[in-house]
Amino acid sequence: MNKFVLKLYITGDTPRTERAIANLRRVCDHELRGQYELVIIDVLENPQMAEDERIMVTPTLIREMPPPRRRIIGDLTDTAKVLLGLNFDPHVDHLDARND
Amino acid sequence: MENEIIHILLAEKTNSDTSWLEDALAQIDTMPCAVQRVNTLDAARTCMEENTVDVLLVDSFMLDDHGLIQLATIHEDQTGLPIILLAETIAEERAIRAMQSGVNDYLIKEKINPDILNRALLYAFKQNQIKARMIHYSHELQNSERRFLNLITQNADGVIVIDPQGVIQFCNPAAEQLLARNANALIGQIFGYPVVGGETAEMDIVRPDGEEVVSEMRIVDIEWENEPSLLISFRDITQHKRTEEALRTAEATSRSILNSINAHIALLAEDGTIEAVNDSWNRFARENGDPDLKYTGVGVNYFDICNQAAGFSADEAPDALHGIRNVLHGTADLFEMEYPCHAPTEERWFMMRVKSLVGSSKRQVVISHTDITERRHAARVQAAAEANAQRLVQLEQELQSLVQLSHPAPIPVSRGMFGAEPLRKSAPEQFSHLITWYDELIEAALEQRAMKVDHHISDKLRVMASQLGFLLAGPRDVIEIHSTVLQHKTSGDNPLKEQAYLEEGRLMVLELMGYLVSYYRSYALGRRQYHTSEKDSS
Repeated sequence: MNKFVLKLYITGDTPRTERAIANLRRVCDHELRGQYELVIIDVLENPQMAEDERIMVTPTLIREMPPPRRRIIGDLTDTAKVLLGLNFDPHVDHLDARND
Repeated sequence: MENEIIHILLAEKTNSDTSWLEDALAQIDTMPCAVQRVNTLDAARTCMEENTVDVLLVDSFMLDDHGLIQLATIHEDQTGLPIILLAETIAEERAIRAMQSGVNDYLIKEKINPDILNRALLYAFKQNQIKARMIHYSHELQNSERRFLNLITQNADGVIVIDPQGVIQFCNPAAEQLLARNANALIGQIFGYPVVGGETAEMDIVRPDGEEVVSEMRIVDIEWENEPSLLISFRDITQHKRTEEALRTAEATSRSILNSINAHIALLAEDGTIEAVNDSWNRFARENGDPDLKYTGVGVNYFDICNQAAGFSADEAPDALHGIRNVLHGTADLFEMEYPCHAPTEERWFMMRVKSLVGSSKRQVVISHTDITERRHAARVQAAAEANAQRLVQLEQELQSLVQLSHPAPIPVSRGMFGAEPLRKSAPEQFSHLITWYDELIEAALEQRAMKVDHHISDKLRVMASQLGFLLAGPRDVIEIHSTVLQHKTSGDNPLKEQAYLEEGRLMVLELMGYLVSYYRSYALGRRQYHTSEKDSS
């Protein structure tokens, strides 16, 4: 199964952060059918991780797995654009998830 | 160029016969021409500097290697000047080189006729017009790009350009400053592909120095170096957000303060619409017949509420409305009114206070309703206590009159008549017993009132008065017993019961005092009769 591993970089507990997390969870639950692992990284608590990853703004979402690695930024409001940005192919990825 | 003379410069090595050319030109109806001749390309350049030349006709014999260079120079100097080559024959390679040096067209001499010449001239003019226009547009484009780049560079907002993979292709100085990274560290880095719902989105900048910066991000599709790209601008809104946050906190604090106040507070617009209320207002409304705040909540017109008022406060509603309007129109600074608002199970009184909203550009008033029931009760108790005290004074005076009546000779007032000391000191045990007795009586009286039973309170008070009279108790002893018991009774936390004790106690003490007066009246009459009979017997 191609389980999605997503890393969301955020800055503290702000309305922007809450909005991005809520948007992302909605997309994941609806489109990835729970077949995902979401890691939320607060750059205020883990500045070195942000530096290593060269994060310049938050929210930044990185698709770690499966390849190809993709990076998108923004409030993640637009589901279609999030999926496009993550290079999520509903035919391929959903079929994989169902066949697993 | 129609109807204007075309100045043609003919550059030929020899003084060959050019009448064929002049004849051909003369036959062109649409273009009157004037021909001038030179022998060298140097002379042609000089001529062009001094005279108007519209077309240069060059003999191919002049275009050796040096001649081609000279022609190229002329072409550069005289931008837009049509150059036509005249040849006996011409090799292809030389023709190409001539074209590269600026020649627009070439004509084979023996084939030249007016039509061909006319067409060649027109074609050369058109070609050069197009060329000139293209050069103009190209300059315009370059200028435009320069201005655009200048605009971006000078922009106070941070601007970056990313390619479809999210890699930074360009950044302006403001972006370097905002992101706290120099251009070398930014260009070529993966920034990320933006995904936002609207035109803008708020983003947190992650700076290496750890400083927290909030920015508003705006995205525009552009073409950058012939590639579809995104131009992302960042505006620092940190200060704005901090101000917003401070305002929110201040608003929350103000609201908390308002909600901490027991008074029911509402803000009214000029037309009477309720614009804001505190929690006490809503709580009172919910507990008093408006659970959904349909009739007294935000958005409802308070003038309508006043106009439709019914029940205990209906009589005061027109005055309230008048008072509110006076404050709204500035004819009064403040309006205050006490009014009843009784519940089915309790008596309630409120104070309504209307004041203009300070610092508002609009006409708005703040209305507060404060529960003053306790204050009203306290005032009533105070008035009753004062009436009691007055009644007691009257009773005492009556007692003194009786004493005087009962003695043939004047007797010293009060202390002489009653015990020398307060009962509490002269007979502490009896005083204590009387306290307990009075306490039981007041309880019984309360029960009698509530349960509608008869405990014969009056009889018991009469017995107690006799006991008091026997002990030579005075009005102040009665008051001391009464106040001691009531003090004990009213030290709880049940205001309604306290009120009942006060009311029953007031009646009881008056009745007891009345019986004591009667006792002493009988006693005084008895003594008088005794003195009279003693006098008679002696």
